[in-house]
Amino acid sequence: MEDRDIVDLFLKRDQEALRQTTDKYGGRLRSLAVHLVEDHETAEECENDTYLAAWQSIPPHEPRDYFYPFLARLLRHIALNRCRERKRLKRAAVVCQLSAELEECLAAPDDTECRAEAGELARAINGFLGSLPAKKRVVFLRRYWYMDSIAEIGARCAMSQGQVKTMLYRLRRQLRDNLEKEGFRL
Amino acid sequence: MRGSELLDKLELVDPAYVAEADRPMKTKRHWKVWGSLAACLCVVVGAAAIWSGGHTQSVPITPAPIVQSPEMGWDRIVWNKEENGMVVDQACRPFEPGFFMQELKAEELEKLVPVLARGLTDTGKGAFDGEGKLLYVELSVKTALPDAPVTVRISQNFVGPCYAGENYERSRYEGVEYGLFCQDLEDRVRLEGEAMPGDLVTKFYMEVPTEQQEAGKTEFLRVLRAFAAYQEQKPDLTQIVPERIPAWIDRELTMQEALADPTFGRWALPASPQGFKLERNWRSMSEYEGVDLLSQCWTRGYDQLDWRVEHFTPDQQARLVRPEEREKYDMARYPIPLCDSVPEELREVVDHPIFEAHELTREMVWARAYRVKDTGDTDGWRIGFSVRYGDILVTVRAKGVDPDWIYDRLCQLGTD
Repeated sequence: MEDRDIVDLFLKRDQEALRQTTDKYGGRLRSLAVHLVEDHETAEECENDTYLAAWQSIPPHEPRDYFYPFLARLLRHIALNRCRERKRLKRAAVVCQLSAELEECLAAPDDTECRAEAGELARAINGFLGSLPAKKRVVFLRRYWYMDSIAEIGARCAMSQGQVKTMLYRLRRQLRDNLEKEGFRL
Repeated sequence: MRGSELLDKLELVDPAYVAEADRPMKTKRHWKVWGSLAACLCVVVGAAAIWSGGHTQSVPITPAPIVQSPEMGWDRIVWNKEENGMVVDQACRPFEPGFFMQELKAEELEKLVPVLARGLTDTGKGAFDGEGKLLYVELSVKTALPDAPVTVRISQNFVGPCYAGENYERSRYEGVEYGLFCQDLEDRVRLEGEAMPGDLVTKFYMEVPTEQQEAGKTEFLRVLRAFAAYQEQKPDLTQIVPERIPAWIDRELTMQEALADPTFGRWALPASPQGFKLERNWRSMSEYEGVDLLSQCWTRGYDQLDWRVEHFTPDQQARLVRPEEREKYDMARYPIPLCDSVPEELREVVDHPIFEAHELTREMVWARAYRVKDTGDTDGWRIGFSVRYGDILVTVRAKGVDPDWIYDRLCQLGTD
């Protein structure tokens, strides 16, 4: 079934939408969940919670043209929260590591919540990503969106781990410069 | 905002980019970094001097068209950036338990140094692991510039790729592809190069003042070319063995072993706060690196307790604080972010104060406690300080642990 039709089922509150979603994207979501949390039981919970989250967010969202990325985004959000709640020194340690790396993109990190509106921040982040060559954008997102390890990114992009680390370091600096230039105080 | 919140906010990324990153990449033929012996001699395009028995000759180098080695999967190489004294990518030394370095014997040095560099290389060290296996050799080759030697590191194994940045000079000399890259470090220039003559991974490093950049390049290249002699006559690194292996320990302990440790057991923590799970007891000692400590770690969800026992050393004297010196330890005086609120001259001691055990009070421990609101993190008390028990130092770092509990445990330490 096409994504548009599945979204229409959600909008009609037809529970067939969930079955169609599971059939079409269950495998991918499960793989992504396992990759993010590295625990099958938790991944299954995350996957199920994703379907519930999709049910609760369509409507108002109507992700007809980006249904899988929409689901993946929900899953990522759920998985990140799970990592922080459970198993402190296992996958959660990776989340801490990634958070520490991204803190380099902030000129003055502090403990108050983000001051920028979501729309402004989205424009800034997507503007930064849009300015990058595809390969660099993929490396950045594989690290900070998909939470790949350096080795996994290297294997995926045919780069050595050192190249990946150097590229990420420079991209973080570039994002920081971009945010400062845009006048963001986050 | 903190990095953890930015990590969350990446959910705002355009779905098209998310989808793009999920597609398999079209890649060039994969470069197995050390699968090819494309020697990478760094040579300046232009005239270069060859040293031979103290005489120099100018030898023009004719740049030739670049011929991509079929093994190489990239068309540019990236420079290793140094930060805080460490190379930030893979070229830094990986952790090797029991790592140590020893000066090479004269006869070992003689066999290692190529003819063209003899007389300029009078010091060298071998780097070994805790079993005495050679990891690499490091030579210091003098140049015509004062205080600007070239450090040459030679290994049989992969020690990290060489990267040269976007603005590097490329050419080919005698069938070998090469490049040279200079990195500006404000008032200095750093040069790096790499080659694999005779199958030995050979890395070169040099720093010179900016005004001596051109002379530095010439000297750098001279040394690189001298080590090309390995291609014809490769030294046998297996002949380099240490005279003795310094003592070292690097292992996990059971709680029983930790408490029974003859050096630090009396100050180890025998039990955790309620609900915490022991993650590890670790005993580290390196005669070579001057490290000797016992570390313990417990966790409860996002809460954590780190307990570390080591010897108190003279260099830590400056961090000792008296109870009345509240400006050196009372966190209530310094709002977050500490980098803004703490005067620079007090930063070191406010971050890591040391209390004398006989002066420690409950109130001082509480003065070290503070809370932060960090999305996704615990909101429990955060605390960090050390206590000196004679020549023993106990350091506590905790999140989500009651300061009263910490104080009570510290009061019980060292008792028989």
